[in-house]
Amino acid sequence: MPKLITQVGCPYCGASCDDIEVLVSDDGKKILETRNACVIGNEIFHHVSNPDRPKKPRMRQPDGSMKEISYDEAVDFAAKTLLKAKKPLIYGFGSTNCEGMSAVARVAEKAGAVLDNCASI
Amino acid sequence: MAEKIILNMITQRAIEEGQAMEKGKTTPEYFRACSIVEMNPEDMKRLGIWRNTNVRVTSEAGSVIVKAIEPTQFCPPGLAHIRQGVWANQVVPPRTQSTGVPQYSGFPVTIEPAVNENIKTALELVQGAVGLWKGGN
Repeated sequence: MPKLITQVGCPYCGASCDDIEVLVSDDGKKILETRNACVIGNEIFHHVSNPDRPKKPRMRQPDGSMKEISYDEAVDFAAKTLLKAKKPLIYGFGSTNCEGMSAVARVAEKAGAVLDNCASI
Repeated sequence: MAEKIILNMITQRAIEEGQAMEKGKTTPEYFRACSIVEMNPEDMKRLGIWRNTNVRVTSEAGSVIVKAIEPTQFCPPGLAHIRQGVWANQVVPPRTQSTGVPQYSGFPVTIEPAVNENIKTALELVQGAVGLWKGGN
């Protein structure tokens, strides 16, 4: 029996809708339907169960293709890049949750990096 | 009928663009939503093109081929609008005038018909800009 989860917050824009209803499949692994969301919000919730969604870090290979790598490898590569950088800049984090942003802020502090996000443009 | 016209360009968000972006910037939906320029039908008449004709948009910063469509929102004669994204960014002047923000809106562009030219995909534009484009789709 699909389960209807109510009062879900939408992570996208500043309108901060918190009345989204999400219909989740039996096993809780697939989002079947959203209610009260706009087209962008609807797309975001469905993107979660999109089979084409990259779920692991990927690294570009010399031939230009992308290869899936483990999180350990990705962290190692990022740490080495930050160590090598003279003026590190960490940028991004649209649609990133609060825990993710606070983790990035701690990394930026340790690396002496400038931290910026999409709100600046 | 003019061979080219000069319009005031604004690049802005659109809900169609947001929806397609969440699906993925390499999807056909994103291509359809963003590789367009909205122009008033009067300006199309001045330029001598039908709606849904490919045009070349050129600014001081660069040039891009997009499809000219009738406005989906208010767009008076003299104004042109490309939805924010890969295609719009080809013509956005990088100057920030000390604000930290490139001039996304309010810059002059020249628009001319480009009936026989193809619109480049998002990957071709982005990878081509840094010499990584290897052909294909």
